Amino acid sequence: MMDSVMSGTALARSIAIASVGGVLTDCELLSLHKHFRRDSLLTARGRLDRLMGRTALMNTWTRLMHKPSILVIIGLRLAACIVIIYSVTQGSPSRLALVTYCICTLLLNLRGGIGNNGSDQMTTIVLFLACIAALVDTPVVVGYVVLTIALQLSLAYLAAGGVKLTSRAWLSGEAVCSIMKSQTFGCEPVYRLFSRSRRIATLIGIAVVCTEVLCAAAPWLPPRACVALLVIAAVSHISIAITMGLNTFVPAFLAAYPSALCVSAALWSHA
Amino acid sequence: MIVTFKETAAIVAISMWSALSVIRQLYPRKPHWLSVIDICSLVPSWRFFGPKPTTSDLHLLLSYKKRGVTVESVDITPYYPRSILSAVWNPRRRLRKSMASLARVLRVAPARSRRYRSAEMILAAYATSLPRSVYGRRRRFDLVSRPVNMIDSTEECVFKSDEYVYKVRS
Repeated sequence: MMDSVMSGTALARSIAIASVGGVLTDCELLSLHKHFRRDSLLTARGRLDRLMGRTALMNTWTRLMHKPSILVIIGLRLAACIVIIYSVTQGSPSRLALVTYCICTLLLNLRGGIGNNGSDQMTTIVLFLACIAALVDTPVVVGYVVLTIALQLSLAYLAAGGVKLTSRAWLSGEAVCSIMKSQTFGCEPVYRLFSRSRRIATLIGIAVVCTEVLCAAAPWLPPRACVALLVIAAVSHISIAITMGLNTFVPAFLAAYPSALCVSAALWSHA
Repeated sequence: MIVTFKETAAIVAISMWSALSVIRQLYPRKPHWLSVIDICSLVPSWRFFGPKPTTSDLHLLLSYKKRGVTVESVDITPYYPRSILSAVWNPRRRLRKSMASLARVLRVAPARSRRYRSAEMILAAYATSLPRSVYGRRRRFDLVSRPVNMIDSTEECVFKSDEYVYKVRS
């Protein structure tokens, strides 16, 4: 059984960090406002066409999901994230802001086409679970939410590391070389370094796989080991942000760390 | 310890979400049954860059005719030079991600399906919205996947469009 004060504090920290990630994501989306036009790449994907057909409801939905309404939804979500951060600093997260965040995220996910990635998924998981915890607001649910966030973090690292562990490309360093050479995620100086010394590329490839697999165990290990592994994971996220430009992964994954630490402390407190 | 109905409902919902998350990781692509349940994309996929990472770059190439001269394969891919600042602020990667998801639809969806046509129309709308003064009126575009290592693999044409005519933006 988790200490209710400890789990409450951990959840509040997770919420605050996830909301910082949410602010960053929404600011980035708003800066791309030109690309939400019907003739640009971030236009709505029409996922509901088959369900709604050509009805009045569909017309309303289409209007809502295009510029300028879509920018209002993103703006509303941004405001919700700011309110969540403020309310956490004042003691407890605002329920209204959490519900607003969830509704806006559901609408944006239904719309599709905004180039979502794993960081958005983690932010969504933390804030949706926080919303459930805030609405039910009992120590049992708060504890369960903290445990679930830690579980998702563990699952994320295990799945990412596990699939790479079976890949010859990752263990030989070929994968990191290819990624660094690509225009999308690449980094020219790092690629040059890898092409000069294949051994470094192999080492980095193995290090990435090992970090992910080991960090999956972090929430279930004693607090000291958990902290050490999470520090390694944080450093790896920051390095990835610098080399690959995956900036939103840093706050998104860091948001789950307070919950992971809380679970570790609770599990090993009687040991 | 007495557990209320609200608590039970919350715990059941969270447990189901967690179970679906675990099941999702077993599949490289989202299974159809999960797409039906998870219409809001709340079930995560954590297989980042695994097992085989993307080893090619997508390029949107535009061919057009201007003053009788045909210009072939101008790269109109949203290009973004990255700096150290991208570690903090990097919005334009979403355009690439969006294009990659369109390319995935064009690769896997049946050619006459609604999803396929929708992806085609989005790319066509993008290609035909570029200024007429630069790219002429009649245009055709190709979406190609160029491997980063050109030695052992060749370029793959993901999509080849018909000819489109420039439209004035309303």
